[in-house]
Amino acid sequence: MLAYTIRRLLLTIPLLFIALYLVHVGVSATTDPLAPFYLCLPRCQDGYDQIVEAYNLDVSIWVRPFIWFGNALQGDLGYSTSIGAPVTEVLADRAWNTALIAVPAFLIGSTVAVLLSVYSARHQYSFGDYFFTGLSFLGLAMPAFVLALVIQNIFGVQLENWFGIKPFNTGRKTGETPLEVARDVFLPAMSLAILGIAAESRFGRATMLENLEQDYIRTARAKGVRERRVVWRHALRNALIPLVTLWALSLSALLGGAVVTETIFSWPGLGTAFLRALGDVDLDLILGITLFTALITILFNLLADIMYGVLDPRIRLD
Amino acid sequence: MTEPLLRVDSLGVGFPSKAGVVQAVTDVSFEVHPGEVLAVVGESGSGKSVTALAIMRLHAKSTIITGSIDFDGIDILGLDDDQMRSVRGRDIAMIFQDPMTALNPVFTVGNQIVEAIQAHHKVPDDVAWKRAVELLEMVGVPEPKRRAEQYPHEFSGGMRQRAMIAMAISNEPKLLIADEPTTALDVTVQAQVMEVLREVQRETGSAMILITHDLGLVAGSADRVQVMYASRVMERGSIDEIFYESRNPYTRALLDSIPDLGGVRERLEPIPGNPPSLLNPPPGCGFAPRCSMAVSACSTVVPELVPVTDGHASRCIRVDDLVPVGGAA
Amino acid sequence: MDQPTDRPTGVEHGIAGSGGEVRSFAYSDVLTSDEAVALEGLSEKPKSFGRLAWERFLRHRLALIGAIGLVLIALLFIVAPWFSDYAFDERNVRDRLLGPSWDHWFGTDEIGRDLFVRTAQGGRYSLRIGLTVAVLATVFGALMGAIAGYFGGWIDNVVSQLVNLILVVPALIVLSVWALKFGSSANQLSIVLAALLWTRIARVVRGVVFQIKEQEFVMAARAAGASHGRIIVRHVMPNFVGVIAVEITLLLGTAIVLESTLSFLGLGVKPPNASLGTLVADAKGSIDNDPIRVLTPGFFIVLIVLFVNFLGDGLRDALDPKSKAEH
Repeated sequence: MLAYTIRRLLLTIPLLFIALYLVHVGVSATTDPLAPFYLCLPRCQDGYDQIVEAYNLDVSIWVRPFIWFGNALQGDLGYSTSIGAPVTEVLADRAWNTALIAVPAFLIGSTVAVLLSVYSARHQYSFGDYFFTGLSFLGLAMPAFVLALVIQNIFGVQLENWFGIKPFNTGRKTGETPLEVARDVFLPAMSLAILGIAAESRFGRATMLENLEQDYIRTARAKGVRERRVVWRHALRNALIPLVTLWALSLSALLGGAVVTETIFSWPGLGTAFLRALGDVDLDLILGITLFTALITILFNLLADIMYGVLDPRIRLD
Repeated sequence: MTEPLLRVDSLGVGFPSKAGVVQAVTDVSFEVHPGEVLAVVGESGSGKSVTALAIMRLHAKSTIITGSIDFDGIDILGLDDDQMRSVRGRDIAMIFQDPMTALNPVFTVGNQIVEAIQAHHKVPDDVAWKRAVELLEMVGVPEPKRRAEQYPHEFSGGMRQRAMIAMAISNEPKLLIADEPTTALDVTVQAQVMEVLREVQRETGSAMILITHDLGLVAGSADRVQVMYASRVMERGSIDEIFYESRNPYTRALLDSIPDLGGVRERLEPIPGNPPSLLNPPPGCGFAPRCSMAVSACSTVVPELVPVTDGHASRCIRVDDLVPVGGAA
Repeated sequence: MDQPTDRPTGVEHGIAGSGGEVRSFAYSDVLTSDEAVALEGLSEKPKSFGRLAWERFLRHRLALIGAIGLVLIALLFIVAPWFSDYAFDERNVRDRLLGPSWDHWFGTDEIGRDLFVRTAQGGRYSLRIGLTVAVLATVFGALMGAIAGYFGGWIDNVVSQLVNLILVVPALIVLSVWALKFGSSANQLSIVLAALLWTRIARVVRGVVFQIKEQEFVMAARAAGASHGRIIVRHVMPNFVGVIAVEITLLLGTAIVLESTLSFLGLGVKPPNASLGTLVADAKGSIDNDPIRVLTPGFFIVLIVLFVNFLGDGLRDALDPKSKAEH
């Protein structure tokens, strides 16, 4: 298992290098940090030289990524010009904020998805099954920005109009106490959770149904095992194998920052930072976030494979 | 004769589908006595497995079941779900055809046997586990202690079926239903598994319904045979009555189609044609279109299951023309 | 591509850093095979695969609804503006922010442009990009997958690594770099989206090819001396027309969601062009007073994707030779 893990990680290093190299070259090629100086030269020669120095503009664009790699390996990810802080600090701060909405969204979303999957599979073609299947179709068809806007409008604006109270913050992280933070987290987390429920419950239902059709379910029933146990132990335990993979992938996507949802709820997470970095061509921050999300993706994919091996005794990782 | 353990009376099983009801079992009546082995023989689709599943009440909710099943004084079809659950695995246990898929791949074999025990008896885990190991030993699994901790995929087909047998007898059921227990196995291990099954059946003294399409298997293992075709019982009798004094053309055709029951026959005779549709079955005897002895009346009326001797009965209007010619039919 | 094939690949289309907000819609319900039909001895007259597929498709009511719905929406977007007196970018400053009326079916925006005409125009634009992306990505992905699966070995490895690379580089970076370098016309946007979305279909096709190439008829063709190209086109490709039809449909949905999302973020369609996504973005500021303005284009996106998914599910059921069950 350990050997497998190490080999998998080693295999991803070249990929990570190539990806970051391409991002570095691509972003550098689209921008010219010296643009503001051309008109004022030679008066602003000092500033010009500083920028050349800061961005290593005297080095070929194809070589520049290696300077960044060198620094990054020593733990220096550079300085974010759009936010005005070292990239490592920005990452730590923003990743924490993103996790604040991502983790609850994931926990609530996957729990509800499992409950709905089990319900729908046990009561196939019942009214409830049709109802939830219909809802998940709707959820799958709804782009994140439409959903987030609708949720923000209903819970953040209309509720206040109807009842004169505003139970949730429409967005923005302003709270200090845990309760206030919970209020701020509620709506963005709910938007993300709904997206997860829509995708996972449909998949979970199909997987549960497939497993409930298996011979070993009949065997369990023939043994006189209680139906509840048949469903929750025998069928769900098998259905969890593909579900856990799906969870690892969706949690890694969530932790990488939800650009749309964070933008709509003005949430100071990785997603909004990334969008801003792109707009301001903040090269160091773009690279930093790319590195961060790529690492998370790689780690969670690995985790997914390991979990797969743990959950399914037929799979041996080596 | 003793009081029967199981009495199935005019059982009917129908599966509703868009096109209509598929009648998989029609008017099936039979008895199983304590300790005896009844073989139920027929082609796939003849209704033999469906009958077994009906006794266990393991069909989908939408299935239409008529008639009555009396087990040891209990009206099986009248039980509620929880009562039925406590009968399954304790009083009646079932062994399925394919041991590859019948065991849950994510739990250890020992674990699954323990579950069967604990579904009916409140015993501590370690006691149940010990019992599971004993059971594995009983069915001839070598190194049962170690094997109990393994997963089904680490077992060979024959070993898995032994584990299934161990699971089925774990509560010493009064009735064992073995649904094609050796069909999915290699020819080389079929005999061994059958041997184990017979042995545990004798040791526990339970009755057994052995469902198979393999008449060869029946000869050595069963006390009585019931032949089914197109959802109905065609003939029933003792081993000798079926093998040597059959009064039914279908049974005879079936016997002619099996290889070498003693080295007498030179040629195998396949049965021409296909079984009828069970969705809208044609009137008359289901076998009539394929029967070499059919007369015109065969395709208008379904013949009754008429007694030939005590315990021997055949469903054929020409039953009296089918007197045994002596020796193998 | 070295993972077990039966694993879900749910969020791989997520624009990295999109928190799984854009998903692929590849999950179908597994139909339970009707016990009755599964019974042997139920003989049925054999029907051709095409006919069976068509009958199954018709039986799948949702798929029919999806197909008809899509046609109706497309017609509405194409035909309806002919009956309106307003041009798509015509401003009437006196008629600003009007509610829906007989004159302006969906009202007007803050510079007095008719929102019905704009929605139809935006919808056409979204559909056009979606279709182009679906076709481009499918063709490219199927080709890459077929090549990888057919040749295997190092070619397969190169394609896998390319797929992995695309999954690691955040799509938003690719998009903004591309847009800055080459512009963001409908065609440019379609190309870059297709370049990001071909990976799933490549994976699917690769798996199918892997299976097919070991089958006897392909072996026979190879033994008979057929060229690689001929074997791929004549023997391998026809075998997954069904798979492709399903994937192309689902891809259409994914592409429309992705395009509208990017346009909403300001990284997709740029003014003076409009898509359903930019219309939502334009109206976002006034959502508190006038939620309908946001909801109208949003509603159309949801409706289109919903119909596309219905259609995709129906196609999958109809074209899967293994699915005999009725719905």
